Amino acid sequence: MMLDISQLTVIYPDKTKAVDNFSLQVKEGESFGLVGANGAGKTSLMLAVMGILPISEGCIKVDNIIVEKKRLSDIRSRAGLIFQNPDDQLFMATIYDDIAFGPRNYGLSEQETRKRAEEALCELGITHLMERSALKLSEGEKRLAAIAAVLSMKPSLLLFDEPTAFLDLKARRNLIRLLNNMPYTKIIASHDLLFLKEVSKQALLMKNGALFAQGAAKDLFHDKKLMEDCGLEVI
Amino acid sequence: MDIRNKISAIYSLEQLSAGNTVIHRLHPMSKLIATFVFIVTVVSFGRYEFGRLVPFIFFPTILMALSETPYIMLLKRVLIAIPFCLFIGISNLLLEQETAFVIGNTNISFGALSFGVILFRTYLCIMAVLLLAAVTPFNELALQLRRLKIPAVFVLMLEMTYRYIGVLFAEAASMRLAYILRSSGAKGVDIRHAGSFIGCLLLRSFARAERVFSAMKCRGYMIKTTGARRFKLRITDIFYCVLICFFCLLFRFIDAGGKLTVLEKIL
Repeated sequence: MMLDISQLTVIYPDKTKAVDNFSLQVKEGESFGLVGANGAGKTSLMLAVMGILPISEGCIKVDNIIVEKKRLSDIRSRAGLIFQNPDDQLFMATIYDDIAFGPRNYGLSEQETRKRAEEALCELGITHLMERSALKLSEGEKRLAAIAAVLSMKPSLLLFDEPTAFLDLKARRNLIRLLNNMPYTKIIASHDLLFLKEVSKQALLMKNGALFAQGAAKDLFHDKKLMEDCGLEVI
Repeated sequence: MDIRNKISAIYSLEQLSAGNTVIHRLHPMSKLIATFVFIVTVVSFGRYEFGRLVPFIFFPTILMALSETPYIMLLKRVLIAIPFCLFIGISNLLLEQETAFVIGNTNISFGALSFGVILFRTYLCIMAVLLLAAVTPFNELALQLRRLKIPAVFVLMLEMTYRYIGVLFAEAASMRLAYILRSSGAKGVDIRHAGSFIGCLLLRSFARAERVFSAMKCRGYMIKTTGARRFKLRITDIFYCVLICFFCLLFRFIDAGGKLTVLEKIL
């Protein structure tokens, strides 16, 4: 099992229950669309998987490794999170340095780091951005650079938080093509149901931090009652 | 767009550091030690020893040429610090009015001499630090500081402050724009709203900085790692460091100007 979440509860210091008794099993290579109204707990769930938010109850296993403080380094080498805002993720002088940031933190040699960075850039078709500064890129280019920064870590599990935010239609189409060609296990949180239908066969609906429904994306996204109960609209 | 340019200007030195000249390729530790020795030597001179400081101008000049760093960019940054020196040095002009020496018909007082030394010393030290930043990426410097056993928490604070400047600017820019668009014809934030504006800015930039830090942690950043390149120490690195230290010590303990005068007399 690539991701095994069992009865996960995440409670913020102000006692807000961000994730409530959430359970999910994801096999290798599977792709899930994660849907929920604002504040449903999608981002909190992803941050908990990455070990950024502390787990209040329950357990998360990534590639059979339990998410706990002493194993965070292993977890973060296996799972990659692409943030909603690429500006949060690109903080170095050049795109190359941003992409190399992760591999260098894991102590890889400069030769191996460069190889990985070039592979990631090549996979996304943005080799020409290598020496550019993130400050001078378009939102679409920044999104691809942020994905490359995570791909260079060679993760097995990719978590996307609102990947279509800030993208124009062309960049969105490009992203759909890329995601469909990626062999990784993916969980993609988005409000863009049409996009999710294109990139994942299965969907998860979250409501108030809990898993509200799970099933085929084409069925769930057209179920008016279910979607409205979840505070969403059908396609 | 204006603020983007300003943020870009803040980080323009770091962008230069991605260069590939002979100076850029040197080991960061070697550059750090050489700069440190240079600064300590420059600071160690007496308040009237202007002539003995002159040979030290060669260090930034040669380094700038070899690293292809634009002089104007560095000079603009040095000028930001100069007013502080003017405030410190101006009292010397008033308090020490005895004549130190005469050039032509002009008396140069000890105050003017020490004022000149303060300005020149500031120029040399700031230039050396700016050049170090222009030829060495910030995270590599941070790694070397950790290796020099500077407490990790101090280095982390330094790194976060550096990253925080950009975050703060970006948040301030978007808040200011939102404010101006809803206040008919105002060019800036009204003093009545400044308190809540600054408070909100602090909270927003704090939240943003948290997200940036989370993104760093997600890619394996620990307080003890920096995402910096691992360099191998080469003979060239040692040679550079030894050479700079040698010349610094040479000009510190030997008055090159004095010796030349003696030499001229002998000849």
